[in-house]
Amino acid sequence: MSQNLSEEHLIRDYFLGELPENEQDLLQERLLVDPEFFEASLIIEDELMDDYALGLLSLYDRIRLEEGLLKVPQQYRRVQLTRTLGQFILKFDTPAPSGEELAESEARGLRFLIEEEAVARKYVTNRYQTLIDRKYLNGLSPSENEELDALRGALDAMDEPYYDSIIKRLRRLVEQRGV
Amino acid sequence: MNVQNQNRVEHLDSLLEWLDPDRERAAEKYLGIRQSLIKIFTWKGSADAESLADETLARVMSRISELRGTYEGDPSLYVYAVARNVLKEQRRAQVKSVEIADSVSENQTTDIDNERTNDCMERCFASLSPSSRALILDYYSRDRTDKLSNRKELADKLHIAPQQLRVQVFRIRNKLSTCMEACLKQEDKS
Repeated sequence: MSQNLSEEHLIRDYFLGELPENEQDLLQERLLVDPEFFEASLIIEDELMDDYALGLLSLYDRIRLEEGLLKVPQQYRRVQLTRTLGQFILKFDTPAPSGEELAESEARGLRFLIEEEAVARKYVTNRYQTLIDRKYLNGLSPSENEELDALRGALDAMDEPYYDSIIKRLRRLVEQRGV
Repeated sequence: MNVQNQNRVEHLDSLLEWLDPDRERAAEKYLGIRQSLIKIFTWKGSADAESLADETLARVMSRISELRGTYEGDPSLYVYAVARNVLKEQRRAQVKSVEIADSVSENQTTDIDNERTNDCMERCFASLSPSSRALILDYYSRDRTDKLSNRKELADKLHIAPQQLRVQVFRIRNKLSTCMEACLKQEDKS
């Protein structure tokens, strides 16, 4: 792309519908015979769309573009692409959370986990105790026996791995806070 | 192969020979002319630019035997003259395509569309080379209101000329755009 500034203005004016008919004709002819000029036009078109999508054009140019290039739905999709790309890149721009913010978020996560675990454990323990009491008083049906086995398994599963994970996370939290 | 198809192939061969005696260069020229025609028709507001470009080339092909004997000068200029006629004819029907375009508004995109678009963007962005990702991130993270000085600053950082930077950004955006179109089409199918 080695076009000079006046050519850039010419191409830009073409896209903004500012060129008289005969100059448009000459420019369009050149698009077919000069590949370098054609590529420069594609780049300028792309940048104009980009500026439009990011709200960087003057109101006048904006209207000119909407009346011209953007009348075709395929062209509008390119504007949407820039906006999607802009939003996507914003995610990368968001500053990384500080150590304090990370610790706060980890603490909230742990509290939630412990609360959930407490509710589940309370239910399983109560139901297990009810079935054990009933087993020694009246005996259990086959399905209740199966349920009792499953509850015993659940209580075992809730023990070591769960506490291991809690301990690891607490240790990390303490390290982050420099306690 | 039926007679119509055989004629088409012969006409295409003649057109290619007319564009350039070297077949490879002729094919490149043909594709370049077609691409330029598509862009011109699009820039002139046609919603079906590809069909118009093909219509233009078909009209040229239908007169190719005569042209090869009589026409002097750059064949691209003749193709453009035909395209201008196609464009004039198309303008008469343009009101309709404007109405269709007008009915496409930003507000019509749904949350599902946005989610699909974002998913595709993530995939397409990940498919770029690490250096392209870094460049595009840097380019779009800068304050765009001072475009010229930011472009120069980034070009200096990459040890390239600002014009080269523009070309690179354009090519990466093009890759993203092609990938997004394919991804969204794929999502449509599934």
